[in-house]
Amino acid sequence: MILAGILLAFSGGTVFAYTSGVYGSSTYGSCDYGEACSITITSNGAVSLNVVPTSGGSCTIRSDTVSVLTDDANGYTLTLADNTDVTALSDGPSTISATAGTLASPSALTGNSWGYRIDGVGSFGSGPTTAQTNVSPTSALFAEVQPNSEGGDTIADTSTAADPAQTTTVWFGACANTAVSSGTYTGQVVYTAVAN
Amino acid sequence: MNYARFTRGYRWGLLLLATIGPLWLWSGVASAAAAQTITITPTSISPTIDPGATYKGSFQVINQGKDGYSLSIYSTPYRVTSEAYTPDFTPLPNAPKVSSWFTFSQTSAYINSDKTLTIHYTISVPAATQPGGYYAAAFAQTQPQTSSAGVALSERVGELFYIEVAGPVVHRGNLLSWESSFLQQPPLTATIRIQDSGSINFPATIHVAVKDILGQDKYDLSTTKELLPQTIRRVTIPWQGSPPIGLFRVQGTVRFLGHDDQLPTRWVLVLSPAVRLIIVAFAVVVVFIALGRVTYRRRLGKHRTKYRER
Repeated sequence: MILAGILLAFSGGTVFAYTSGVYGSSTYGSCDYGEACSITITSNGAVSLNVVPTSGGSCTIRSDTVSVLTDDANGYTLTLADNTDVTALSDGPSTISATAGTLASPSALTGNSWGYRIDGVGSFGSGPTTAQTNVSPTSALFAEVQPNSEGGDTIADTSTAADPAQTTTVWFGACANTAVSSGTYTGQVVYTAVAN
Repeated sequence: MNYARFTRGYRWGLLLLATIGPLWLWSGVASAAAAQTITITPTSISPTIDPGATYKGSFQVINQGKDGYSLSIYSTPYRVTSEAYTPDFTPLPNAPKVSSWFTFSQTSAYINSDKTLTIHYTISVPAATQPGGYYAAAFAQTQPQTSSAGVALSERVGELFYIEVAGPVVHRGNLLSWESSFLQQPPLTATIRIQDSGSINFPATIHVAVKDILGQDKYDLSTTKELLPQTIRRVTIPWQGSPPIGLFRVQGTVRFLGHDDQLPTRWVLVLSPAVRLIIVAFAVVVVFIALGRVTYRRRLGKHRTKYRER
Protein backbone atom coordinates (compact mmCIF):
# COMPACT_ATOMS: atom_id res chain seq x y z
CA MET A 1 0.00 0.00 0.00
CA ILE A 2 2.86 2.32 0.92
CA LEU A 3 4.62 1.52 -2.33
CA ALA A 4 1.44 2.08 -4.27
CA GLY A 5 1.07 5.41 -2.52
CA ILE A 6 4.62 6.45 -3.40
CA LEU A 7 4.15 5.44 -7.00
CA LEU A 8 0.82 7.19 -7.20
CA ALA A 9 2.36 10.34 -5.79
CA PHE A 10 5.28 10.15 -8.22
CA SER A 11 3.02 9.73 -11.21
CA GLY A 12 0.77 12.51 -10.11
CA GLY A 13 -1.95 10.10 -9.03
CA THR A 14 -2.77 9.06 -12.60
CA VAL A 15 -1.96 5.36 -12.77
CA PHE A 16 -5.55 4.34 -13.27
CA ALA A 17 -7.29 7.57 -14.23
CA TYR A 18 -5.80 9.43 -17.19
CA THR A 19 -7.30 12.46 -18.78
CA SER A 20 -9.11 11.23 -21.85
CA GLY A 21 -7.85 12.33 -25.21
CA VAL A 22 -5.82 11.16 -28.09
CA TYR A 23 -2.18 12.12 -28.16
CA GLY A 24 -0.68 12.29 -31.62
CA SER A 25 -2.44 11.88 -34.91
CA SER A 26 -1.74 10.61 -38.36
CA THR A 27 -1.21 13.72 -40.46
CA TYR A 28 -0.01 17.20 -39.71
CA GLY A 29 -0.47 20.38 -41.65
CA SER A 30 -1.92 20.05 -45.09
CA CYS A 31 0.30 17.38 -46.62
CA ASP A 32 -0.51 13.68 -46.54
CA TYR A 33 1.00 10.68 -48.25
CA GLY A 34 0.83 11.11 -52.01
CA GLU A 35 0.24 14.86 -51.92
CA ALA A 36 2.70 17.57 -53.01
CA CYS A 37 4.75 17.94 -49.87
CA SER A 38 7.75 20.17 -49.39
CA ILE A 39 10.95 20.01 -47.41
CA THR A 40 13.15 22.94 -46.36
CA ILE A 41 16.62 23.02 -44.88
CA THR A 42 18.42 25.99 -43.34
CA SER A 43 21.94 26.36 -41.96
CA ASN A 44 24.35 29.16 -41.18
CA GLY A 45 26.51 28.81 -44.26
CA ALA A 46 29.95 28.42 -42.67
CA VAL A 47 31.77 27.72 -39.41
CA SER A 48 35.08 29.42 -38.62
CA LEU A 49 37.66 27.42 -36.70
CA ASN A 50 40.50 29.83 -36.03
CA VAL A 51 43.25 28.12 -34.04
CA VAL A 52 46.55 29.43 -32.66
CA PRO A 53 48.67 26.26 -32.48
CA THR A 54 50.76 25.35 -29.46
CA SER A 55 53.31 22.60 -29.03
CA GLY A 56 50.87 20.59 -26.95
CA GLY A 57 47.95 21.16 -29.28
CA SER A 58 45.26 23.83 -29.28
CA CYS A 59 41.60 23.34 -30.19
CA THR A 60 38.68 25.46 -31.24
CA ILE A 61 35.05 24.28 -31.20
CA ARG A 62 32.17 26.07 -32.91
CA SER A 63 28.60 25.15 -33.79
CA ASP A 64 26.18 25.34 -36.65
CA THR A 65 22.43 25.04 -36.27
CA VAL A 66 20.68 23.22 -39.09
CA SER A 67 16.90 23.11 -39.23
CA VAL A 68 14.52 21.03 -41.32
CA LEU A 69 10.90 21.85 -41.99
CA THR A 70 8.56 19.48 -43.80
CA ASP A 71 4.86 18.86 -44.01
CA ASP A 72 5.43 15.34 -45.28
CA ALA A 73 3.57 13.13 -42.82
CA ASN A 74 6.38 10.55 -42.88
CA GLY A 75 8.98 12.95 -41.59
CA TYR A 76 12.51 13.36 -42.87
CA THR A 77 16.07 12.08 -42.68
CA LEU A 78 18.97 14.50 -42.33
CA THR A 79 22.49 13.38 -43.18
CA LEU A 80 25.89 15.04 -42.97
CA ALA A 81 28.82 14.29 -45.26
CA ASP A 82 31.91 15.80 -46.74
CA ASN A 83 31.03 17.46 -50.03
CA THR A 84 34.17 15.95 -51.56
CA ASP A 85 36.10 12.74 -51.04
CA VAL A 86 38.83 14.68 -49.25
CA THR A 87 37.84 14.56 -45.61
CA ALA A 88 40.80 16.57 -44.34
CA LEU A 89 40.89 20.33 -43.96
CA SER A 90 43.26 21.41 -46.69
CA ASP A 91 45.55 24.29 -47.53
CA GLY A 92 47.16 23.10 -50.72
CA PRO A 93 49.35 20.12 -49.88
CA SER A 94 49.09 20.75 -46.14
CA THR A 95 46.22 19.07 -44.34
CA ILE A 96 44.54 18.67 -40.99
CA SER A 97 43.35 15.08 -40.99
CA ALA A 98 39.87 13.95 -40.09
CA THR A 99 39.64 12.30 -36.70
CA ALA A 100 39.70 8.52 -36.60
CA GLY A 101 36.45 8.46 -34.63
CA THR A 102 33.16 7.54 -36.27
CA LEU A 103 29.51 8.13 -35.46
CA ALA A 104 29.33 4.65 -33.97
CA SER A 105 32.62 5.01 -32.11
CA PRO A 106 33.69 8.64 -31.72
CA SER A 107 37.02 9.64 -30.20
CA ALA A 108 38.64 12.71 -28.68
CA LEU A 109 40.49 15.06 -31.01
CA THR A 110 44.25 14.81 -30.72
CA GLY A 111 47.25 16.29 -32.48
CA ASN A 112 46.19 17.77 -35.78
CA SER A 113 42.65 16.61 -36.44
CA TRP A 114 39.11 17.81 -36.91
CA GLY A 115 35.62 16.39 -36.74
CA TYR A 116 32.03 16.91 -35.68
CA ARG A 117 29.78 15.94 -32.78
CA ILE A 118 26.12 16.27 -31.82
CA ASP A 119 25.09 16.19 -28.17
CA GLY A 120 22.88 13.25 -27.34
CA VAL A 121 23.23 11.51 -30.69
CA GLY A 122 24.81 8.07 -31.03
CA SER A 123 27.79 7.61 -28.74
CA PHE A 124 28.77 11.29 -28.54
CA GLY A 125 27.47 11.68 -25.03
CA SER A 126 24.98 14.19 -23.72
CA GLY A 127 27.34 17.15 -23.54
CA PRO A 128 26.58 19.98 -23.21
CA THR A 129 29.21 21.15 -25.65
CA THR A 130 30.16 24.81 -25.55
CA ALA A 131 32.02 27.06 -27.95
CA GLN A 132 35.71 27.16 -27.08
CA THR A 133 38.71 28.89 -28.59
CA ASN A 134 42.33 27.83 -28.36
CA VAL A 135 41.92 25.40 -25.48
CA SER A 136 43.90 22.28 -24.72
CA PRO A 137 42.50 19.10 -26.30
CA THR A 138 39.38 18.06 -24.39
CA SER A 139 37.74 14.73 -23.72
CA ALA A 140 34.76 15.58 -25.95
CA LEU A 141 34.21 12.91 -28.57
CA PHE A 142 34.17 13.70 -32.28
CA ALA A 143 33.58 11.78 -35.48
CA GLU A 144 34.97 12.01 -38.96
CA VAL A 145 32.80 13.77 -41.54
CA GLN A 146 32.32 10.87 -43.93
CA PRO A 147 32.85 11.34 -47.65
CA ASN A 148 29.70 11.85 -49.65
CA SER A 149 30.67 8.85 -51.78
CA GLU A 150 30.20 6.66 -48.70
CA GLY A 151 26.75 7.99 -47.89
CA GLY A 152 27.47 10.19 -44.90
CA ASP A 153 26.03 9.94 -41.39
CA THR A 154 22.38 10.23 -40.40
CA ILE A 155 22.25 12.92 -37.75
CA ALA A 156 18.49 13.38 -37.37
CA ASP A 157 15.29 11.75 -38.49
CA THR A 158 11.63 11.80 -37.64
CA SER A 159 8.65 9.63 -38.49
CA THR A 160 6.15 12.48 -38.49
CA ALA A 161 5.95 15.90 -40.09
CA ALA A 162 8.39 18.51 -38.78
CA ASP A 163 6.34 21.66 -38.52
CA PRO A 164 7.53 23.84 -36.83
CA ALA A 165 11.05 23.15 -38.04
CA GLN A 166 13.25 20.87 -35.99
CA THR A 167 16.78 21.99 -35.27
CA THR A 168 20.00 20.04 -34.84
CA THR A 169 23.11 21.68 -33.40
CA VAL A 170 26.27 20.36 -35.03
CA TRP A 171 29.57 21.11 -33.29
CA PHE A 172 32.74 21.26 -35.38
CA GLY A 173 36.11 21.07 -33.70
CA ALA A 174 39.70 21.41 -34.95
CA CYS A 175 42.97 20.91 -33.09
CA ALA A 176 46.44 21.85 -34.24
CA ASN A 177 49.98 21.85 -32.88
CA THR A 178 53.10 23.58 -34.12
CA ALA A 179 53.91 20.69 -36.43
CA VAL A 180 51.37 22.02 -38.90
CA SER A 181 52.31 24.97 -41.05
CA SER A 182 50.32 28.17 -40.80
CA GLY A 183 47.72 28.82 -43.44
CA THR A 184 44.04 28.79 -44.29
CA TYR A 185 42.65 25.29 -44.00
CA THR A 186 39.19 24.68 -45.39
CA GLY A 187 36.74 21.89 -45.87
CA GLN A 188 33.23 21.49 -47.27
CA VAL A 189 30.34 19.80 -45.55
CA VAL A 190 26.94 19.08 -47.12
CA TYR A 191 23.66 18.55 -45.28
CA THR A 192 21.11 16.42 -47.10
CA ALA A 193 17.42 16.40 -46.24
CA VAL A 194 14.88 14.09 -47.87
CA ALA A 195 11.42 13.03 -46.87
CA ASN A 196 11.01 9.49 -45.60
CA MET B 1 64.16 62.22 -30.58
CA ASN B 2 66.32 59.41 -29.42
CA TYR B 3 67.26 57.63 -32.60
CA ALA B 4 68.53 54.53 -30.79
CA ARG B 5 65.24 54.09 -28.89
CA PHE B 6 63.27 54.55 -32.06
CA THR B 7 65.25 51.92 -33.97
CA ARG B 8 65.06 49.47 -31.04
CA GLY B 9 61.33 49.93 -30.75
CA TYR B 10 60.91 49.63 -34.47
CA ARG B 11 62.85 46.35 -34.53
CA TRP B 12 60.84 44.88 -31.64
CA GLY B 13 57.65 45.89 -33.38
CA LEU B 14 58.73 44.14 -36.54
CA LEU B 15 59.67 41.01 -34.59
CA LEU B 16 56.30 40.99 -32.81
CA LEU B 17 54.42 41.43 -36.06
CA ALA B 18 56.41 38.65 -37.70
CA THR B 19 55.49 36.34 -34.81
CA ILE B 20 51.82 37.15 -34.59
CA GLY B 21 51.13 37.45 -38.30
CA PRO B 22 51.50 33.80 -39.42
CA LEU B 23 49.71 32.42 -36.34
CA TRP B 24 46.77 34.72 -36.81
CA LEU B 25 46.49 33.75 -40.43
CA TRP B 26 46.18 30.05 -39.58
CA SER B 27 42.90 28.41 -40.39
CA GLY B 28 41.18 31.22 -42.07
CA VAL B 29 39.56 34.56 -41.60
CA ALA B 30 36.43 35.03 -39.53
CA SER B 31 33.56 34.44 -41.92
CA ALA B 32 30.51 36.60 -42.43
CA ALA B 33 28.64 33.82 -44.27
CA ALA B 34 24.89 34.24 -44.49
CA ALA B 35 22.33 31.63 -43.54
CA GLN B 36 20.91 29.74 -46.50
CA THR B 37 17.42 28.29 -46.81
CA ILE B 38 16.40 25.99 -49.63
CA THR B 39 13.07 24.24 -50.24
CA ILE B 40 12.01 21.65 -52.77
CA THR B 41 8.51 20.51 -53.64
CA PRO B 42 7.21 17.87 -54.15
CA THR B 43 9.24 15.51 -51.99
CA SER B 44 8.52 12.38 -54.01
CA ILE B 45 6.81 11.08 -57.13
CA SER B 46 5.94 7.62 -58.47
CA PRO B 47 5.71 7.63 -62.28
CA THR B 48 5.12 4.53 -64.42
CA ILE B 49 7.06 4.62 -67.66
CA ASP B 50 7.21 2.17 -70.58
CA PRO B 51 10.63 0.90 -71.66
CA GLY B 52 11.96 3.24 -74.34
CA ALA B 53 9.52 6.00 -73.36
CA THR B 54 10.02 9.35 -71.67
CA TYR B 55 8.32 11.07 -68.79
CA LYS B 56 8.29 14.81 -68.26
CA GLY B 57 7.71 16.60 -65.02
CA SER B 58 8.92 19.44 -62.86
CA PHE B 59 9.72 20.44 -59.31
CA GLN B 60 10.10 23.77 -57.64
CA VAL B 61 13.03 25.16 -55.70
CA ILE B 62 12.22 27.99 -53.33
CA ASN B 63 14.53 30.44 -51.58
CA GLN B 64 12.82 31.71 -48.43
CA GLY B 65 16.02 33.18 -47.02
CA LYS B 66 17.23 36.75 -46.94
CA ASP B 67 19.98 36.38 -49.52
CA GLY B 68 20.27 34.89 -52.96
CA TYR B 69 22.61 32.03 -53.72
CA SER B 70 23.88 29.84 -56.53
CA LEU B 71 22.68 26.30 -56.74
CA SER B 72 23.22 23.17 -58.78
CA ILE B 73 20.64 20.60 -59.89
CA TYR B 74 21.49 16.97 -60.51
CA SER B 75 20.27 13.43 -60.04
CA THR B 76 21.67 10.52 -58.07
CA PRO B 77 20.70 6.91 -57.50
CA TYR B 78 18.54 6.26 -54.45
CA ARG B 79 18.74 3.16 -52.28
CA VAL B 80 18.56 2.31 -48.63
CA THR B 81 20.91 0.53 -46.29
CA SER B 82 19.97 -1.67 -43.34
CA GLU B 83 16.50 -2.19 -41.90
CA ALA B 84 16.66 1.35 -40.56
CA TYR B 85 16.25 2.44 -44.19
CA THR B 86 19.07 4.95 -44.11
CA PRO B 87 18.98 6.75 -47.47
CA ASP B 88 22.02 6.30 -49.66
CA PHE B 89 22.59 8.25 -52.83
CA THR B 90 25.75 6.53 -53.96
CA PRO B 91 25.80 4.17 -56.94
CA LEU B 92 25.96 0.41 -56.57
CA PRO B 93 28.42 -1.39 -58.83
CA ASN B 94 26.69 -3.20 -61.69
CA ALA B 95 23.33 -1.57 -60.92
CA PRO B 96 21.42 0.24 -63.67
CA LYS B 97 22.53 3.87 -63.86
CA VAL B 98 19.10 5.32 -63.19
CA SER B 99 20.45 8.79 -62.56
CA SER B 100 21.62 8.91 -66.18
CA TRP B 101 17.98 8.71 -67.33
CA PHE B 102 17.43 12.28 -66.11
CA THR B 103 17.95 15.53 -68.00
CA PHE B 104 17.11 18.91 -66.51
CA SER B 105 16.08 22.21 -68.06
CA GLN B 106 19.00 23.72 -66.15
CA THR B 107 21.70 22.29 -63.95
CA SER B 108 22.82 25.52 -62.34
CA ALA B 109 21.07 28.72 -61.41
CA TYR B 110 21.10 31.72 -59.15
CA ILE B 111 17.98 32.19 -57.05
CA ASN B 112 17.20 35.44 -55.33
CA SER B 113 15.53 35.83 -51.96
CA ASP B 114 11.80 35.00 -51.91
CA LYS B 115 11.92 33.54 -55.41
CA THR B 116 10.77 30.23 -56.84
CA LEU B 117 12.59 28.39 -59.57
CA THR B 118 10.80 25.72 -61.61
CA ILE B 119 13.05 22.96 -62.90
CA HIS B 120 11.73 20.76 -65.70
CA TYR B 121 13.07 17.28 -66.12
CA THR B 122 12.77 14.44 -68.60
CA ILE B 123 13.20 10.82 -67.64
CA SER B 124 14.21 8.67 -70.61
CA VAL B 125 14.00 4.95 -69.93
CA PRO B 126 16.28 2.82 -72.12
CA ALA B 127 14.35 0.46 -74.38
CA ALA B 128 15.99 -2.66 -73.00
CA THR B 129 15.13 -1.92 -69.38
CA GLN B 130 13.46 -4.80 -67.58
CA PRO B 131 10.10 -4.14 -65.91
CA GLY B 132 10.35 -3.34 -62.23
CA GLY B 133 11.25 -0.63 -59.74
CA TYR B 134 14.07 1.86 -60.25
CA TYR B 135 14.91 4.59 -57.80
CA ALA B 136 16.61 7.96 -57.98
CA ALA B 137 16.72 11.39 -56.37
CA ALA B 138 16.85 14.85 -57.89
CA PHE B 139 18.73 17.34 -55.77
CA ALA B 140 18.93 21.09 -55.56
CA GLN B 141 22.11 22.02 -53.72
CA THR B 142 23.42 25.39 -52.59
CA GLN B 143 27.01 26.16 -53.38
CA PRO B 144 29.48 26.47 -50.48
CA GLN B 145 30.04 30.11 -49.77
CA THR B 146 33.29 31.49 -51.11
CA SER B 147 34.47 33.34 -47.98
CA SER B 148 37.40 31.65 -46.30
CA ALA B 149 36.33 29.59 -43.36
CA GLY B 150 37.23 26.46 -41.46
CA VAL B 151 34.17 24.62 -42.71
CA ALA B 152 32.04 25.81 -45.62
CA LEU B 153 28.51 24.45 -45.46
CA SER B 154 26.25 23.44 -48.31
CA GLU B 155 22.64 22.30 -48.13
CA ARG B 156 20.72 20.06 -50.48
CA VAL B 157 17.14 18.93 -50.61
CA GLY B 158 15.87 16.12 -52.78
CA GLU B 159 12.81 14.74 -54.48
CA LEU B 160 12.67 10.96 -54.48
CA PHE B 161 11.63 9.12 -57.65
CA TYR B 162 9.96 5.71 -57.32
CA ILE B 163 9.95 4.75 -60.99
CA GLU B 164 8.05 1.73 -62.24
CA VAL B 165 9.12 0.52 -65.65
CA ALA B 166 5.92 -0.97 -67.00
CA GLY B 167 5.54 -4.66 -67.61
CA PRO B 168 5.08 -7.83 -65.57
CA VAL B 169 6.37 -7.19 -62.08
CA VAL B 170 6.25 -9.19 -58.88
CA HIS B 171 4.29 -7.67 -56.03
CA ARG B 172 5.21 -9.61 -52.93
CA GLY B 173 5.66 -8.70 -49.31
CA ASN B 174 5.06 -9.98 -45.81
CA LEU B 175 4.92 -8.85 -42.25
CA LEU B 176 7.99 -10.24 -40.49
CA SER B 177 7.52 -9.14 -36.91
CA TRP B 178 5.52 -6.98 -34.54
CA GLU B 179 7.09 -6.26 -31.17
CA SER B 180 6.50 -4.15 -28.12
CA SER B 181 8.26 -5.44 -25.03
CA PHE B 182 6.21 -5.92 -21.88
CA LEU B 183 8.53 -3.96 -19.59
CA GLN B 184 9.75 -0.67 -21.02
CA GLN B 185 11.10 2.69 -20.04
CA PRO B 186 9.51 5.78 -21.56
CA PRO B 187 8.94 6.32 -24.42
CA LEU B 188 6.76 3.31 -25.04
CA THR B 189 7.95 1.89 -28.34
CA ALA B 190 6.54 -0.58 -30.84
CA THR B 191 8.46 -2.01 -33.78
CA ILE B 192 7.19 -3.49 -37.02
CA ARG B 193 9.29 -5.16 -39.68
CA ILE B 194 7.96 -5.56 -43.20
CA GLN B 195 9.64 -7.24 -46.13
CA ASP B 196 9.35 -6.47 -49.83
CA SER B 197 10.44 -9.63 -51.60
CA GLY B 198 9.13 -8.60 -55.01
CA SER B 199 10.51 -6.53 -57.87
CA ILE B 200 8.61 -3.30 -57.24
CA ASN B 201 8.09 -0.95 -54.35
CA PHE B 202 4.82 -0.69 -52.49
CA PRO B 203 3.44 1.47 -49.68
CA ALA B 204 2.56 0.00 -46.31
CA THR B 205 0.10 1.84 -44.12
CA ILE B 206 0.67 1.25 -40.43
CA HIS B 207 -1.76 2.21 -37.72
CA VAL B 208 -0.82 1.87 -34.05
CA ALA B 209 -3.07 2.74 -31.12
CA VAL B 210 -2.19 2.81 -27.43
CA LYS B 211 -4.95 2.50 -24.84
CA ASP B 212 -4.82 2.43 -21.07
CA ILE B 213 -6.31 -0.40 -19.03
CA LEU B 214 -9.65 1.40 -19.00
CA GLY B 215 -9.68 1.33 -22.79
CA GLN B 216 -9.18 5.04 -23.21
CA ASP B 217 -7.17 6.19 -26.20
CA LYS B 218 -3.80 7.59 -25.25
CA TYR B 219 -1.86 7.66 -28.51
CA ASP B 220 -2.75 7.05 -32.13
CA LEU B 221 -0.50 7.13 -35.15
CA SER B 222 -1.01 6.31 -38.79
CA THR B 223 1.90 6.42 -41.15
CA THR B 224 2.63 5.19 -44.65
CA LYS B 225 6.08 3.85 -45.44
CA GLU B 226 7.42 2.98 -48.84
CA LEU B 227 9.08 -0.42 -49.17
CA LEU B 228 11.77 -0.91 -51.79
CA PRO B 229 12.18 -4.31 -53.50
CA GLN B 230 14.39 -6.89 -51.83
CA THR B 231 14.55 -4.97 -48.58
CA ILE B 232 13.26 -5.24 -45.05
CA ARG B 233 12.07 -2.07 -43.38
CA ARG B 234 11.99 -1.72 -39.60
CA VAL B 235 9.49 0.90 -38.52
CA THR B 236 9.89 2.08 -34.95
CA ILE B 237 6.98 3.94 -33.45
CA PRO B 238 7.73 5.74 -30.17
CA TRP B 239 5.08 7.38 -28.01
CA GLN B 240 7.08 10.41 -26.89
CA GLY B 241 4.43 11.44 -24.41
CA SER B 242 4.58 8.22 -22.38
CA PRO B 243 4.09 8.81 -18.64
CA PRO B 244 6.69 7.45 -16.19
CA ILE B 245 4.42 4.63 -15.07
CA GLY B 246 1.45 2.87 -16.52
CA LEU B 247 0.01 -0.29 -17.99
CA PHE B 248 -1.02 -0.02 -21.62
CA ARG B 249 -2.49 -2.02 -24.42
CA VAL B 250 -0.86 -1.59 -27.83
CA GLN B 251 -2.81 -2.55 -30.93
CA GLY B 252 -2.51 -1.92 -34.62
CA THR B 253 -3.01 -2.84 -38.22
CA VAL B 254 -0.78 -3.02 -41.26
CA ARG B 255 -2.12 -2.72 -44.77
CA PHE B 256 -0.13 -3.45 -47.92
CA LEU B 257 -0.65 -5.08 -51.29
CA GLY B 258 -4.37 -5.27 -50.66
CA HIS B 259 -4.00 -7.18 -47.40
CA ASP B 260 -4.94 -6.05 -43.92
CA ASP B 261 -3.07 -7.58 -41.02
CA GLN B 262 -4.45 -7.14 -37.52
CA LEU B 263 -1.50 -6.90 -35.15
CA PRO B 264 -1.82 -8.96 -31.96
CA THR B 265 -2.42 -6.90 -28.85
CA ARG B 266 0.64 -6.28 -26.73
CA TRP B 267 0.50 -5.33 -23.05
CA VAL B 268 3.22 -2.93 -21.96
CA LEU B 269 4.19 -1.90 -18.45
CA VAL B 270 6.01 1.41 -18.52
CA LEU B 271 8.33 2.10 -15.60
CA SER B 272 10.80 4.95 -15.79
CA PRO B 273 14.27 4.52 -14.22
CA ALA B 274 13.26 6.69 -11.30
CA VAL B 275 10.17 4.59 -10.63
CA ARG B 276 12.23 1.41 -10.82
CA LEU B 277 14.66 2.89 -8.32
CA ILE B 278 11.81 3.63 -5.95
CA ILE B 279 10.51 0.08 -6.31
CA VAL B 280 13.95 -1.39 -5.67
CA ALA B 281 14.51 0.88 -2.68
CA PHE B 282 11.12 -0.06 -1.27
CA ALA B 283 11.86 -3.74 -1.75
CA VAL B 284 15.20 -3.36 0.04
CA VAL B 285 13.48 -1.63 2.96
CA VAL B 286 10.86 -4.37 3.15
CA VAL B 287 13.51 -7.06 3.13
CA PHE B 288 15.46 -5.33 5.91
CA ILE B 289 12.32 -4.94 8.00
CA ALA B 290 11.44 -8.59 7.48
CA LEU B 291 14.94 -9.70 8.38
CA GLY B 292 14.86 -7.48 11.41
CA ARG B 293 11.60 -9.03 12.65
CA VAL B 294 12.89 -12.55 12.10
CA THR B 295 16.07 -11.76 14.01
CA TYR B 296 14.10 -10.13 16.82
CA ARG B 297 11.80 -13.11 17.21
CA ARG B 298 14.69 -15.53 17.32
CA ARG B 299 16.40 -13.53 20.04
CA LEU B 300 13.14 -13.25 21.95
CA GLY B 301 12.69 -16.99 21.69
CA LYS B 302 16.17 -17.68 23.07
CA HIS B 303 15.66 -15.21 25.89
CA ARG B 304 12.43 -16.91 26.96
CA THR B 305 14.04 -20.32 26.84
CA LYS B 306 16.85 -19.18 29.13
CA TYR B 307 14.32 -17.65 31.50
CA ARG B 308 12.34 -20.88 31.73
CA GLU B 309 15.49 -22.89 32.38
CA ARG B 310 16.26 -20.66 35.34
